[in-house]
Amino acid sequence: MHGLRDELKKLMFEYFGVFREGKKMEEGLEKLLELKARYPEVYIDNKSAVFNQALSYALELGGLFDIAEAVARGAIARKESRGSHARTDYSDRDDENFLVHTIYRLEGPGAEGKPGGKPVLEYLPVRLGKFPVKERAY
Amino acid sequence: MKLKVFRYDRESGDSRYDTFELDPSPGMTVLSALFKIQEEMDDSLAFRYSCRGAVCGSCGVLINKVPRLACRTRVESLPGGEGQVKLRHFPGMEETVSWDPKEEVLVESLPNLVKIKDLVVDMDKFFEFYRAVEPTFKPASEAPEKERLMDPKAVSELEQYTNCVLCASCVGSCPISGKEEEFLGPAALAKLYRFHIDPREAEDDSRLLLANDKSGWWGCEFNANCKAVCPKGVPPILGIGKARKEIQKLGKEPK
Ligand code: SF4
Ligand code: FES
Repeated sequence: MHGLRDELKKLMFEYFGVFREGKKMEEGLEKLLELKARYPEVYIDNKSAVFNQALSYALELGGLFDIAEAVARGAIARKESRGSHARTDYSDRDDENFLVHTIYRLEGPGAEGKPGGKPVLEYLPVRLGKFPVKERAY
Repeated sequence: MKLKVFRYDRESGDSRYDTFELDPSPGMTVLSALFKIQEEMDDSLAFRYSCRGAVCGSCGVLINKVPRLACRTRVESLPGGEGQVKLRHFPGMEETVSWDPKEEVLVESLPNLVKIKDLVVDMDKFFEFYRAVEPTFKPASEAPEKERLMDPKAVSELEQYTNCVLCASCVGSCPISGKEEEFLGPAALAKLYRFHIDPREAEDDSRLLLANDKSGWWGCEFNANCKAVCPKGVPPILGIGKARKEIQKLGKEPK
């Protein structure tokens, strides 16, 4: 279990760290899905009903895989650079197309009726406050 | 380096000590050592943590017979006695298992609290006492239009007590908490004193009198373990002493 979590950590750091690049991220997503497919095999030795942290880590890991996939798909689709999403292949900020929130959800039931479903990306407009939109100068 | 860790299971009531060998990396804390054990050697080990940086107060445990934050205690500093703290006798100090302080680090659950699993204790009683002192700000006046100003001169005294992170180390080290079921304990009393001296609260004695009995200010026997173990430098004993003096001046000592 911890082995799989470590692999996930390493993968996300390497392919979806601060500096990102389209082709590399596609590759990363593929690897991520391979890793995620191994999640159902996770087992733990700890069978205690009291304060069983191994169980909570195992359940959390399932959530981490979903979040990692959301990060990956959102980042690949966002063809611009903004804040700590710095793409080497799209180094400029693109307010025309990407001044939006990414919404990620899973549509319909997953395989064999399990939770999951098809990943869908949508965008919502950003409600702008008092501050005008402009590139950061720092 | 060896970690000798207290194991307990509320379901069966069984307890034992397990010894784990590990190579401490430079600067490794007891908390990281526990993670290493949990991840690589025994996933059934249970302990509490959250921030890993000495601000949440979750990881209080008994290390080499001294209550400390696991995330703030470096493993290397322990064998051989560096960072030893001299304490007056309290229940957790008694010998529970033989161990070699030169080679082993002994990690046990906080004394004076009900055990749940391994290093995890039930904090309900601690927070029950905490709630009993009404630990919320009760302003003396209506809310002003802007902010409520704080007298900067009062801050240094107040700060000593507000730094508490509710880790219960003091309660674990307190001889009185160990023998008097109803004693509010150092952390709750320190908190009560902190609100009593807050200049933004009403200048009356209601806070002081809230603990004007044996389970409050008057239960303390000035062992000072609380001040010695507090990872945040809070001196509950000082607050308790000052509160008592004030009550004496008021002539309102309990019979
Ligand atoms: S006073 Fe110190 S030892 Fe006691 S609970 Fe607060 S931080 Fe922990
Ligand atoms: S983990 Fe938060 S204080 Fe140690």
